[in-house]
Amino acid sequence: MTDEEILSLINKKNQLGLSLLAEKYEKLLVYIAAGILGNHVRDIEECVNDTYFKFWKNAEKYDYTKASLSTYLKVIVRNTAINRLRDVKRHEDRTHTEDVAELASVLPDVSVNIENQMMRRENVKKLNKMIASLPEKDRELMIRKYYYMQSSKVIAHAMSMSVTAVDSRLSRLRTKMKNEFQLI
Amino acid sequence: MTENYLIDLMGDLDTKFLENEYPERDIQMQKTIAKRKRTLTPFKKGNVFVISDTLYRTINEQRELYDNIVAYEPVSERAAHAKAQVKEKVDAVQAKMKALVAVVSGIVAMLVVIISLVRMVAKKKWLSKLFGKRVQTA
Repeated sequence: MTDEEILSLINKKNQLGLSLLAEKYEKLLVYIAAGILGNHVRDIEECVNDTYFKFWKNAEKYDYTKASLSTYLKVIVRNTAINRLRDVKRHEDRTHTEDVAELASVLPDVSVNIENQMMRRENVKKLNKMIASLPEKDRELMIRKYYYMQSSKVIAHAMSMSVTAVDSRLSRLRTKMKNEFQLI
Repeated sequence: MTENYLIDLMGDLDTKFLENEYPERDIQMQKTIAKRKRTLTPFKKGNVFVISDTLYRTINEQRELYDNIVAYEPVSERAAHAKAQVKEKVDAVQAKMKALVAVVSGIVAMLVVIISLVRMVAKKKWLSKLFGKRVQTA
């Protein structure tokens, strides 16, 4: 079943479309959510279900000329997983094991201040430029680490590098970014 | 720039950078590893050994290679070919050795000639000196 066929079924609000979407992309979505949320099956399941729900609600807004369906779903699941981590930070009384709480603690609570929003938009532009200028390998490292939030061990295994090499390369890239953004 | 800020900014990354297949590749790799592990599980009684597709392909490729290179050349021809190659190499080494011996013997001959010339000259000088002295004393 092609993405277009699945999309047309979902646009007609046919539930079969959703099951076909799940059949085709569930593994991918679970993999991305697991990379961010750790081995918390319940959180991962909820995150993936939220992703389906969000897509079901906003399917008509999806423009396949801008991005492929898998990319669109990747963006939704990544941001849903990050939001879930933020929830963990907000509700610290929730029972979570250390690693997720630790991960959540590094995520910022973004202020809705207009000035901040404008600065953020500028920084996003800069970031896109920087990522575009990076060599393919460095770009993959950055995206894996800061977009999919994969651990150095996972990255090292996927890119056939040593963990030390991944860490040192990331550290160099962070310094480069820091200089570029001229921020602390 | 702090890591958390970077993670936050990454949320708005241009989708063109996400048109890669990193997670898909990882999943594929995991599948391949799992498949390989399955094929490598120890053989137990009652289990049927199944050759993996990759191995089957490799075996076939090797067989084709063997058929093309070796099978169409009879053993006697292969032996003659090998002998000729060895002879060629031995000849080359022998030629080199001969050239080396010639050069060395040439150098030795030159040295002998030079030494005898020097000796002759020295002898002449010594004789003239000797006679010269004798004349003087006489």
